[in-house]
Amino acid sequence: MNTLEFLWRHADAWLLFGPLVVGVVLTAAPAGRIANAIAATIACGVAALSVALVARLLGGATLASVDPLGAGAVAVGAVVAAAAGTAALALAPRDFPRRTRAIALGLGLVLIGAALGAMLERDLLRMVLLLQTATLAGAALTGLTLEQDRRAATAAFGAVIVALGAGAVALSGVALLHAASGASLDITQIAARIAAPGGASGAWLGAALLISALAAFAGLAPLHAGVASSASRVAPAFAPLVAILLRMAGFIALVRVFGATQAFAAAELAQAFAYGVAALGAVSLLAGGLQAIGATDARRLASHALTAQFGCALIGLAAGGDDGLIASLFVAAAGAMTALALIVGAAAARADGGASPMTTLDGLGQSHPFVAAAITISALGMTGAPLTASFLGKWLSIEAALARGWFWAAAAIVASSFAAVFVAGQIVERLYFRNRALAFKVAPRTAYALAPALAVAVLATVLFGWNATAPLDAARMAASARTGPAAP
Amino acid sequence: MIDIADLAARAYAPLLTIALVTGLAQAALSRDLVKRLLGAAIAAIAASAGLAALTRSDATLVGGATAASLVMLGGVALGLALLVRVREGFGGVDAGGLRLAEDADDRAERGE
Repeated sequence: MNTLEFLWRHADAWLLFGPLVVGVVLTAAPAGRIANAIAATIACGVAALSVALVARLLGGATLASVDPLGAGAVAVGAVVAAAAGTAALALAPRDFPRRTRAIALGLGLVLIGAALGAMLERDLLRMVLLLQTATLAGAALTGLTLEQDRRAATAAFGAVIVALGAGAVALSGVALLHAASGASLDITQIAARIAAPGGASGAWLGAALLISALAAFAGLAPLHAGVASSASRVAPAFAPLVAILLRMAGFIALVRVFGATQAFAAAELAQAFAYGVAALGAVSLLAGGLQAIGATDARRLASHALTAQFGCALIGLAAGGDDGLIASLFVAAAGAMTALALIVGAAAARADGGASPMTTLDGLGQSHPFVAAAITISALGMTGAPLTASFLGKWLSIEAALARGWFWAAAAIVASSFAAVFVAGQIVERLYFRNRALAFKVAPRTAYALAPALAVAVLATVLFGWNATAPLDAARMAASARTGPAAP
Repeated sequence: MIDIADLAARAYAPLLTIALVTGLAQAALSRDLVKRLLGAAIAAIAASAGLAALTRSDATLVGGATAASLVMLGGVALGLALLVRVREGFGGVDAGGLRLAEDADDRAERGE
């Protein structure tokens, strides 16, 4: 067996344990100057492996340990991780003293490994434990910045409460599902058991608890206040991990569990779950959209915008059918890329690190024209403007909602897009029609080092808005791996 | 004579449910951060115990229940450490006071 074949067969283990083990080693034994290079290499290696994985699966290859849904989600997540890893090359030395820096990079790798593992995992207990681990690593990362900003301590504390509280609810759900179905904790086996007549007894409560907890991990409204605080307080280099990757892991886990609930033999029960998830989506869509308007911090704004995108994705998911699931995955991935561009762009806008109040965007069009252009494209992506990837995602979601007769859901998506237009207008006005505050200075070297992350986010937003064949194929492939039957 | 083992075997489910619900309510509603952490810890302990009880028939899940307990302990330890830093940074752990102090920091950051 050659090296590539060995990598391929054990891709799931590499994606989970590679970053996790190196992260633990870096945290326990800080590696000084080379820590940055190690973290960036691991993050980029994971991204290359996950993209190769999707390409091979699309080419018709099969792999027992990784399903297409996990592979597609991990590819998006790993690209976010690689963007954070390369951004950290420039930003981590600015934001942390040397010893703390290695610990921060180690915690970042732990978060990457645990989050990617949770996306791949089909065993419910391991999925929940990995999500808890990733959330606690994110809390510790946020807490590391409290020397510069005391508000980081309260944001990190909030994340710990979410990890413990949501973890407790999720574990209760897992235990109930196990006891009710009598199956192992593999989501596919549980779906098969609950599809049998009488299989719903007790399992519905376990599934409801699990979905509620996963909504908290994904930062969906009304449980999203903590994720916005963490996103705005964590060091800028690691904001993509806390604000995007961690939440995507929770969202993909929710997609898997929701798929299983559609297998309930009692059709009205499956229907109830679909309505519940759609309602969660509508609340997230509206709350995220409205809170983005009032956001006073750029990273907080990106977090609220992602909440709205996840809400749109949930509506597509709940509407059912392969088209709904494809729409859901496409919207979530597009939302991740627009949030990435905004978060990294905001990091480039300040020479001295720290938080990213909206005033840091003022006058960026003159001082950093390329960064300003990237943020503008990200803002257009948030609105779902034509020729951006979000446009197709929102369009597909609206189609899925209308096909189900959910006019209220389609109206919520349209209303959220109007709110996003208002937010995008605010951003463009700040970028091009205000003077730059001298206090923020310019940071040409930092901005240059952030170029790869910005370029990936912008290219994904624009190219997949122009030609979406590849991501749609990946989403179709992922939809084929659903854990339950399509909703009617 | 009361059979304690039999009573415990029949009573664990409602007891753990009460612990889970009261713990979560405390974690969500309390103004005091110490009580929030205590509530979350109680809920996590109840969930770990419930997991161990409901999966005891499957020996392969013992490792999972143990890992869940360890993650819970790690979370509580991190929460305690952060609680100390919050008290150092803000001089108290009352949620209302912390919100006011954070709002003041936000305004100062925006130059208002």
